[in-house]
Amino acid sequence: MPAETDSIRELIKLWMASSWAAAFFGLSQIAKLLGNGNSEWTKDALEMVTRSIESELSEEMRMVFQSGDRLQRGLITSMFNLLAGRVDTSRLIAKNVVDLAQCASGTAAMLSPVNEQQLAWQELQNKLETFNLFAHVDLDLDLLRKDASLSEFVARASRLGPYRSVWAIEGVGHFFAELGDTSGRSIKLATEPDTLPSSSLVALHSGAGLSFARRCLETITTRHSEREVRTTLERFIVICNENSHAGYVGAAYEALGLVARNLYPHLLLEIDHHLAALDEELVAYFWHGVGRGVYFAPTNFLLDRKTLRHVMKQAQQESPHELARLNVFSGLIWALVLVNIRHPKIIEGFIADNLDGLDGEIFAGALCSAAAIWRESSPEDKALTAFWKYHPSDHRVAEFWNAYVTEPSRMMLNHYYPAVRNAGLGWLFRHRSLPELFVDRERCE
Amino acid sequence: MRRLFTQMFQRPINAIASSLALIGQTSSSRQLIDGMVSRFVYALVKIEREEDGKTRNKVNIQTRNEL
Repeated sequence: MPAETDSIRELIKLWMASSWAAAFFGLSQIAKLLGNGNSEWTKDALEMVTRSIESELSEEMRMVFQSGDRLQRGLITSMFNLLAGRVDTSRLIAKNVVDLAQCASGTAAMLSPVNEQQLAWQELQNKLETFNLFAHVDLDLDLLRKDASLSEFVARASRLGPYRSVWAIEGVGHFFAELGDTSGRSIKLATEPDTLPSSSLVALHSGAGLSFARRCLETITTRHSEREVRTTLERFIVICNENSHAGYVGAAYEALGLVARNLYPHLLLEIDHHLAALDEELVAYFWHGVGRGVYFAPTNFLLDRKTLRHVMKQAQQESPHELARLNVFSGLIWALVLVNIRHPKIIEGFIADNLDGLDGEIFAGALCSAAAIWRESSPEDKALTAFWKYHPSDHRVAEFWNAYVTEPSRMMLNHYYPAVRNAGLGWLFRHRSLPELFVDRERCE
Repeated sequence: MRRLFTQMFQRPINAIASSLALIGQTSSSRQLIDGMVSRFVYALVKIEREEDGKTRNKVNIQTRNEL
């Protein structure tokens, strides 16, 4: 007992000492900053101390710390931008609300006992993080500066880390495409691939596609004619073809489904009907995007156990035919895997809840496509390898995981990835069966 | 002050109008809720540059005319 008391006493002393040291360090840096104005040195020293403390935290604590850190940095940036009259106030408020929600869901995940509720909060935090990076990339990277080029912003987004950079680059693609006609900074991905890193092309095309789709669909009036929808879709295809690299155009086509599902749901069946008349391949891309849209739909934002089971039924109900069903499921699984690539436990929970109704072949095809996209977009990320080597605790899920996650991923990443990559990767933005991914590639090679 | 007031309220008002516009257009209640919330959020986070507003409108009109 005395030994225990001694150790507690020592711990309290050390804790007090570290708090005192941190406060004193902060004061000394402020004094230096006021004294000699060498802000660069001070900035680096403060950053080093912050990162050093961060490295001592557990993974869950670190994610919450990072969210909180980004929240306070965002608030300060917002305040300065606002004072300078550079940004829209209500947009800044929206960003800060999402930052706060992200921080709160991370805290809830950390404080919840280890069960499905914790996974649901963690999944929500991941989803909010990706959405926030995509929607507010201009505020995060200061894209309001007019002089920088697309490649400079891609380089800046790439420094955000292996996970965050992918979503930020998608946001950069969307941002540049949104401003394309108005600011003189247009996105011409068909001619620019040489100036851009190859790892950014998938995300840029996907982001730009969302802008093309939104801008085309918003021209359809409430009392539209069949011809109006048909012409709009033709125009969308022309814009995609003109502005995309041929190998990645599939990523731009697919975005139509996501935008239609969440912003123009009343047009889904009409678009399907017209695309079928134009090209059957486009129907597949479209419904894959709808699947992604179902995953990001507001009513599915907090995916607890009940919602996880429901989302599969919903995917089934929203598919008017077999090609749509294959692609909606594929798009849904694809988005789930990519958003939660750092947390295989979330995918384990999804499989456990849907084991009886889950089609292993569709799951494996979607997973392999997602794995190839992630390898291309974030080649340094170790999370992908950790993901497919993960061992679920439930033995039924473990069997499924081994057959439809570990083995196909190993085949894709260790053997077929170079051949799949040579075909341009845009073709992965729709359902592909394992034979299409592996056997056909081998034949092509 | 007037600019700040416009900045604070124009987007939320547009967001409400945009989401309400979907009522009566879709038969599925889940899709309707998703559509309304997505439109609301989209209108709040939409990228728009004030100085480019006039040009943007011109481009939209051009696109419509082309159609």
